[in-house]
Amino acid sequence: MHLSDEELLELPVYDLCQNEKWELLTPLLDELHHFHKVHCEKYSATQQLGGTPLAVRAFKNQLLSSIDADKIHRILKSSGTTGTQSQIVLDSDTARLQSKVLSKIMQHWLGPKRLPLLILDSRKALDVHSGMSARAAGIQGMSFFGRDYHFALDENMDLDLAVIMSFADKYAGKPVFMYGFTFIIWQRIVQQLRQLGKQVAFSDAFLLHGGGWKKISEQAVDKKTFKQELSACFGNVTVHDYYGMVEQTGTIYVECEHGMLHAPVWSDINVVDPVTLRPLPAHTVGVVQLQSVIARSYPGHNLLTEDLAIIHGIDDCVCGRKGKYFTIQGRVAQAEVRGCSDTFK
Amino acid sequence: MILLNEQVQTLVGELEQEPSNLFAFEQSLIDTVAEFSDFILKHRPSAEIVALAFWCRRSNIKNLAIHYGEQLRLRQSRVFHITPANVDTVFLYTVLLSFLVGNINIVRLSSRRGAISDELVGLIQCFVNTDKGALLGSRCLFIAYPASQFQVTATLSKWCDKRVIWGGDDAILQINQVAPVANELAFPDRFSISVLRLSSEQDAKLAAKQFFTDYQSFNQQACSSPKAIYWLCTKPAIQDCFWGALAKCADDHPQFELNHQLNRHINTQMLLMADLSLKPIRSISHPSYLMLEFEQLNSLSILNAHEGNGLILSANIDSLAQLPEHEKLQTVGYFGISKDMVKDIHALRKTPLGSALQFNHIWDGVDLVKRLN
Repeated sequence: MHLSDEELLELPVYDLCQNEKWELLTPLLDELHHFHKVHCEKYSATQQLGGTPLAVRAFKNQLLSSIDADKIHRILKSSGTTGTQSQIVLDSDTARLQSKVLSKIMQHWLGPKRLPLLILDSRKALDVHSGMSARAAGIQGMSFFGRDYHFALDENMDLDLAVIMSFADKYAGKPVFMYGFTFIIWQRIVQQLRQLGKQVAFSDAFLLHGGGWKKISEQAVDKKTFKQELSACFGNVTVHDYYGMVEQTGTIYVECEHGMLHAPVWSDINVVDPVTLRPLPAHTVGVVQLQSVIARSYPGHNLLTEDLAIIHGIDDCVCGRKGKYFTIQGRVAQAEVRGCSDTFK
Repeated sequence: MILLNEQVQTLVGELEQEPSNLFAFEQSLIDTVAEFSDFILKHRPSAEIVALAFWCRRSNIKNLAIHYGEQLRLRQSRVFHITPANVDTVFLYTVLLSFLVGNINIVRLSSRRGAISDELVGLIQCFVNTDKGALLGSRCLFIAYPASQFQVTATLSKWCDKRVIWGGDDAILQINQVAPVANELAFPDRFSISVLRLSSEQDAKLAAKQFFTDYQSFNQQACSSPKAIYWLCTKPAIQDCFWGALAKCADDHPQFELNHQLNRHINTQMLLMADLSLKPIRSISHPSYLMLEFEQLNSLSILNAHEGNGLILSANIDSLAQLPEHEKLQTVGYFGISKDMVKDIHALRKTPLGSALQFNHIWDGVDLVKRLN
């Protein structure tokens, strides 16, 4: 049996058990594997000894495309600290699927209505870099799920207390959405609010943050401290981390109320052994492999990342969401530094 | 003496304001290096550092002194050494040679240097604090600064009479764009291979042991580390014996870690994408190596993109004439090949298997002692 894209998008985000999910995803992933083998010569070269997940690093410095040049709708670029960028070729179908999937995931967490959005960053982040920085891309992507945007930081990355206060007053007692990068939230928002001794009491805020923990854990800040400090700053706020990458835009992994990242129905995670690349049992640290059925125009349906994770269980997270749930355990040592932790120096 | 900025970190040493003029291989210089060898061996260092200590033992240095005898000039030079990040001990060979011929040295260590490099710097630090080591510290200054500090590189390049770059093509080019010098000793990118002819299980075990020595040092990232094995008229069953024996050597001395293991897979994919004509026929994945066998491996140019970490390419040949030739081919380690036949191998350096990483004062065809003097 084969799902159409419309049927695919109708699937509940976190309600399918792993077995049901795999029955649906396996034929789609097989089909994508064959499609990309035929249409992307370089991908095909990597698959000569059997199906192996393609290294995320392969998208750096070269264009891996499975579509004709005239079908290219957009090329997504990641920001990397080393100066080498990933380049992801999208046709209009893939771009549409990506935004629909992201929007399904976000609606699950935020509800069907757009909420007032406080961006925990500076407006300047949107125009600092030529091209699309990860920070700008993140903000633009998430702004789609909010309304009446406010920026919490001014041009100098200093706290704009007046803006934050007027936002809080305007939406007192109402649900709001906040979005930003982990390190910037910590260094520019939390630290400055603490210095000023200021608190802003929201009654129902959903805070989503991403960009990795590398830089912040260098300052010996753990998740618990991060969340506690944010509660101290913002009152009743639920704090959710997310994991994802430009190579699989759309299918992000959002952290639940119990600190677990969840795979949405359109993608899946394996934690694999670095020698055999075979899946490891739960509760074991290994390398993250990500599969996604919406990578159509480029061979990104089965990726070998340089991140480490532990899968904590399948179908039985306390939060009630089905499928695999996991936590990220950092990056493989000495691997190239990438991601967003370089965004503010 | 030299105007440097706050980005420059002094690791070890303090150059004398007006260093005395010492003869090449003067007794005090030989003694210092020989004592250094004894000193580091006493501290039970990593295998790579043991190899360095073994090289600079008294008898070897004495032989060098006798060999060069009166050939060397008296005038001391100021030498600026720029060292690599990936091969943690290699720089010290040229620094010690330079010290032995009486030069004053400033050594820039990479900010990306590894654990073994730090271990070595720690040992040098302890050594120069002893009476016997003081001379080394007064004639060799070890510093670290970010590569982006071009003006520091430029200042030091003006200060020196000679510059040594263990760098690789890109680094050499970049540094010369910023600060060209007249007298430079540079070691560009090179890569190395092994050629094996095995006829028995016993051969396979012995060869595996020797090959293990060659490929695992410096995470297989030195220019002399073999990246590929060419099998000369060796039966598949005996090759399998070799891979089994290599796994056993590696199990006894585990060397590679998760990041190396993962990078082998990533690097494999990059190589296959870099040359679409490559046809791998099988692979063996072991914690200590990833073997990737090809029908043919005629072009060595992809070895430029080989990053070490325990990835071993493999191919069969019927005669030494089928060994690929390449200007960047440095060392060919050989096993089971007669002296007569070795002549047919075209490379800068040919060594019996197991000694690829042994440093020699003639390197890449350059007499380092003469060039540094």
